[in-house]
Amino acid sequence: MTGIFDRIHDLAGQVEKGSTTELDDRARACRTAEEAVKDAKALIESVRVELGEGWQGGAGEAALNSLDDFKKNRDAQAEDLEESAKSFEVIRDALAKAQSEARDKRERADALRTKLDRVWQDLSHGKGNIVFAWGQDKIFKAEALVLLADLQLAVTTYDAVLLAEGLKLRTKTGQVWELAGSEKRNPAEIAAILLRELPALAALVAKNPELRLALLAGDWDKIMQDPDVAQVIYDYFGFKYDENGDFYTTGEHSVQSYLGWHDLYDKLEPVIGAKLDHTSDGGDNMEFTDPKTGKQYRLELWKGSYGFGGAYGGEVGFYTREPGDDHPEGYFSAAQGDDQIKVTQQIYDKTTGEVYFTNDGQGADGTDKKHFWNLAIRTDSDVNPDALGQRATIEVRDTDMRDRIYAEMTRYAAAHPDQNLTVHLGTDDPPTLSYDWRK
Amino acid sequence: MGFEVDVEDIRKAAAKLGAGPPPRIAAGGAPNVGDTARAGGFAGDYDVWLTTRQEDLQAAQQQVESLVESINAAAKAYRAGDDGARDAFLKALDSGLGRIDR
Repeated sequence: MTGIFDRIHDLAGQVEKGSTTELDDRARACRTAEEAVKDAKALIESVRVELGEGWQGGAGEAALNSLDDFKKNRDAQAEDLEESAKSFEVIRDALAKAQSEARDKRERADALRTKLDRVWQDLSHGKGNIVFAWGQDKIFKAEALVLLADLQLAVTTYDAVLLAEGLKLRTKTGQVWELAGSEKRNPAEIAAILLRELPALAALVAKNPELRLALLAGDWDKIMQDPDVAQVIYDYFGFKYDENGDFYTTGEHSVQSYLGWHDLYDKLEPVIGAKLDHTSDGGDNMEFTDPKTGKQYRLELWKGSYGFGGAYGGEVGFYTREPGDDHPEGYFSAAQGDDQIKVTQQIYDKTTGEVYFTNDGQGADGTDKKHFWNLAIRTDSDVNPDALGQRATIEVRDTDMRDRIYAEMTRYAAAHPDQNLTVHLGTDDPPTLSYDWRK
Repeated sequence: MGFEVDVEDIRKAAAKLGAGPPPRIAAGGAPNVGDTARAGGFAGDYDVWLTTRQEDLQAAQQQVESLVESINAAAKAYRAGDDGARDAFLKALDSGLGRIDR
């Protein structure tokens, strides 16, 4: 019984600890800065007025336009600070409301607890009877549960405000310099995505202040040292163990299948502690367009170490982009249907020739072994990732696509001799090609 | 007579702009928003926001400094009485201000 009362107290304490005064201070700081920005804008305006008076056509027009632009971005800065101030006020109001609810529920819970204690004390002193006491106990328990549910709703609502306003604040870019804050924004974006997508991770992080700090700082080494967290993240990425081959692979419905390939995937690389060679170095990628459909294709290869040096392996990914796709440039979806490829990937030692393992399409749905992503990672920290080679045979739906992939791979290989990539045509039936990547 | 007065007025306005206090944001660390599940994430959001605002205000100040410097350089090069001095001054401003990153 005391469990419910303790939970009410704990939950109430979570919001009662918050400071509306500090949120007010932040809103005030925004408005002070906003006024200073407006003053700076007024000084720019006075320069513009003076220049405007001296300008009589011809030269000077560009300078006036520049000054107009400077004024505009001061306006944008001032507006942004005003919006930030409003965000802090929205949170302040939500916190005040949650605190008021918490206070009310806690006081009512305390009153219930006092009443309940009295019932049992009376019974122990020979007053009343056990039937009455149990009846009262049930009534008070039910009332306490209602209070707890109400309080949970109030806290969840407050958390939703924190999430929404936090997102607004985090995604605001600079007005004068668009990249302002981007160094912090990138890891914070990853942390936010993971916390949003992985309730289990959010729960683990909430319990551990060190993990919270590490997540905010993007300290993935520290985060992955926690075995519970590592497991949650590996589960999230859809890794699964292939007992026969002694390697991890991934299913067709992992998070990447929804994210596709884009910049975010690169950002997530540190999450799995990967240090990889990849075929997108220098911004050039193995991409081609099917002239009949206008669909774009991208082939990506990776090899190296994973899990902060505790594992090694490689990946072959195949992605598509439909014509007119309104995703940002560089976004490709995981290949689906008959665009999928059947890959037999082998990871070996370039120096000794020793083959470590072969993934012949494990991880694919059904029995066709067609996938958008052939991944194979083995946990072993004694293998030198720099000595890894990757070779594979790729089977595609028809010779037309095979020839396009072959042409693009040979173009890429010639353009990047440091990649040490050799490509060979295979059979026409089924349509295959093979490569050896010895970077 | 005439335009040199304008040049001097422009220079004075620029000097006033340069002497203006640079806008700063005096917000401290993440506010105490309690200890709910989202509180830690919000602290990170705040951190990003504050750094972004501080860096953006610094960029704005650099813009002002470049602006003042361009005007001063054009005003210094201005030779009253020279043929085409007015056009040269305005052209110098056009290109000087045009080079400043928005």
